[in-house]
Amino acid sequence: MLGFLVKRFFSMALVLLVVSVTIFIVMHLLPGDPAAIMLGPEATNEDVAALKAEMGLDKPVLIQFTEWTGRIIQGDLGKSIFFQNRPVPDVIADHLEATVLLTLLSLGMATLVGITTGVLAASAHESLFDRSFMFFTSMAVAVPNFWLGLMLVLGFAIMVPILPAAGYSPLSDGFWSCLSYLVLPSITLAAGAVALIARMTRACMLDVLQNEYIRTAKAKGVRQSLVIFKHALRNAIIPVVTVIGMSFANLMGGAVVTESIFNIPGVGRLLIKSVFTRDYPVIEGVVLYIAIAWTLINLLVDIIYTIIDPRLEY
Amino acid sequence: MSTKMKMIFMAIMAFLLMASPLTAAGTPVTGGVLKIAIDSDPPTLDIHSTRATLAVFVGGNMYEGLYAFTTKGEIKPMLASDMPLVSNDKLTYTIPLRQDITFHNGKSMTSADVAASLNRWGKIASYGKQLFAHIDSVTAKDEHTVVIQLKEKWGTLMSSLAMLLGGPVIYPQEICAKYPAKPSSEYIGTGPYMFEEWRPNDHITLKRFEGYSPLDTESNGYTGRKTAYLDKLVFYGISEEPVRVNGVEGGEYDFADFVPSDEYDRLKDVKKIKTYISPPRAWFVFVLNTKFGPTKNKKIRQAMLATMDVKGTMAAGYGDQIFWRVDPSLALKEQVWHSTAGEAAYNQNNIEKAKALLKEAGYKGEKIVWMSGPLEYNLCVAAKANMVKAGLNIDLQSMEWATLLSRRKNPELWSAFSSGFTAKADPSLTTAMNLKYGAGWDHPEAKALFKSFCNESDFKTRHEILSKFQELVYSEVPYIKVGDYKNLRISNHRVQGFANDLYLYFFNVWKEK
Repeated sequence: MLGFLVKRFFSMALVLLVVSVTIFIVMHLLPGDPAAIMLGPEATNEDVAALKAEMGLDKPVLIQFTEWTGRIIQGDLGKSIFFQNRPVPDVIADHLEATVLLTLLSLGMATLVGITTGVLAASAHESLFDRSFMFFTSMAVAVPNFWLGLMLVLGFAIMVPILPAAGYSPLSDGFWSCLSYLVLPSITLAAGAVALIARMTRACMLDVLQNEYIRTAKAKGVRQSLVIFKHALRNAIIPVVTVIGMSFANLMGGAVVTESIFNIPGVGRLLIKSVFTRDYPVIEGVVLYIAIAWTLINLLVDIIYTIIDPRLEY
Repeated sequence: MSTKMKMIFMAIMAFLLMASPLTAAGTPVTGGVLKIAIDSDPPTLDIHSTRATLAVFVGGNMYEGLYAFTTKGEIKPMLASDMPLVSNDKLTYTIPLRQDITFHNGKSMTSADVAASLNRWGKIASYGKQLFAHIDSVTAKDEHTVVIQLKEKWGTLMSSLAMLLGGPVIYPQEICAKYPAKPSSEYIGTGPYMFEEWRPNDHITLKRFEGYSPLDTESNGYTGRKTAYLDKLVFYGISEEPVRVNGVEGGEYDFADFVPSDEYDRLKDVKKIKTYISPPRAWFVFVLNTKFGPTKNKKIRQAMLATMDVKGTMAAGYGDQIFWRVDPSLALKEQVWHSTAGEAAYNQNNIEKAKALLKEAGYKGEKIVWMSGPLEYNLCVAAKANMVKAGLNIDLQSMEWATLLSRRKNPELWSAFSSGFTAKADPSLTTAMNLKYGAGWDHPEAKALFKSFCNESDFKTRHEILSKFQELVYSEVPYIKVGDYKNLRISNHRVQGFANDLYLYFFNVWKEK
């Protein structure tokens, strides 16, 4: 296991290096200029050139790259151009709370509802419940989350105004206030993941329930619930954990559309805003953060496999 | 109705009256937080460093200059105690300062702060650089007097001192020294609201400045009495239009700007919502490249102008006519500078004339690369249809603003781009008269007219010069004016005292309980 972990950390470092170099090159090849955006659309070319020189953005890309690499090696991600010249890790940290809470809430919802309904549908295979389940999960996968989000706002913030239409209240302002702002976005975000997890659970469960050891257990008179949850689910869960892990990593990178619809100041919106304003240091920082989240969560999923199935070895 | 029923009815009415808010509409109430949804975060709150309108929407509540404009464009003292004393040769302006001004950091304002601010503005702001080319020095004569020494007579000095968008607002001397060239990240002004917090990508909070000394004159635009009735103003930068609208309808925000005009018919009937149609604040233009490519040929530019069906273009691109109007002037109808010079060339919708002009130009179908941002794209599509009918080969390219701003720096890449020119109190400050804008317009007559317009101080003569400049624009076609446009704004019905002006500001606004 230790050897596996060491190997994974090395490959992780390589992934991060490739990601950061790629994003630096891509961003600097893209047209767009933070100085022009800062000065506004009615500025002249001369004004833009002067501010660009002042900000050090007129240096050749190779020199900028060398300087940037030197900083990255020392762990310095630089300062944001637009967010009051603040260090990039601070800017990302400001947006993490909303993203982490939104991720945990929607993933918790998706996992709980997805696994439960998936197991129930597999246990009642071909029944009315199972068919309805297939219909609704297909719908949930197909419905675009921007539409679902807007419908939820229309229903629960405008027609029956019981929840806020948009915005975010930090945890420090109170748990219930924070929760009230996250309910609609979490449902929006969870809908697709619920369907995915539920369908995967159902398929895996159906596969496992065909096995002889399940039949044997049933023949021995083991209780149905015990057969389902102890014997079948544990063996069916590994692909489901993979799906949950991928959803988790995806969400940690910021749910761009949902954060935009509900005006949540999370990492996804930060990335979009930074791309539009060409805030290079923040874009590079956020992409690195997403890469780290992905690799760490994948590592975590691999470790969880060994806990669920002790036969697995690395 | 029986006596018993009458008694019950009266009791209900009495209860309702007691339960209703005690403050009558129109009576200002102090306190509360106003949540304002604007379409994006401003790029910076350092007004010297940007011409972005959003910076003024927030900063206009925090900063003040020596002078300010009324809604009709008159200049009134703000941090100056009076209009300047002008020497006979009109080269020396002596400006007396108010002595009751305190900055948000608690320091009293002196002439050293004013001189430092003006000098910094002259070094880094684009308008400042233009003006300071004609200024010899700005010095503090005594603690409460500043002297501006001009190199030559310059008629736009006062307008420049009074403008807010990219204008010379006054900062403490220390801020100017700390950020001599880069945008400042410390926001200290003298206005009725002061900076409290900027949560990046979320909101900007201003709070009431308790040390503010209001003027005792009637409030008008950015001049006169300014009262901070609200405890706080919170600005949310929200680029998604439905989120801004839903937010106000759902009660999450109190005010939203840049609401889609096609929502007007629905929103005007919603009880809890007030709708405001802003005064015209800008006009759409198609800027043409006079230096490179096919549009270098004047006849081709004239042909493009001849195809313009302004009404059809504005209707297709900007919706209901209550939000736009057809007008040839380079100044708004509401301004004293309005002129109809050259109007025969405006809104011609004459395809045959365009074809003849293209023939004269020897046009052989060369590609005309036309860049458009998202806001103007529909306009461009509508205008392009007529141009194509006339035989022009238009390559309309839609791109996000950052890309457009970057590409337009290289005039060899494009022949035209769409934009909007905002109205200013003095035409010399508008982009319409900025000869360096876009690819630049090197025309000796335009240069001479601009210089004489700036040198002159007599209004009538200046108006005549402006009319000549406008005529020249319609004959040389460095850009094509489309139409003036307005914004739809909405607020919660409890918001009172909002001046539906060109720019947004929230002093003198209160919220009913």
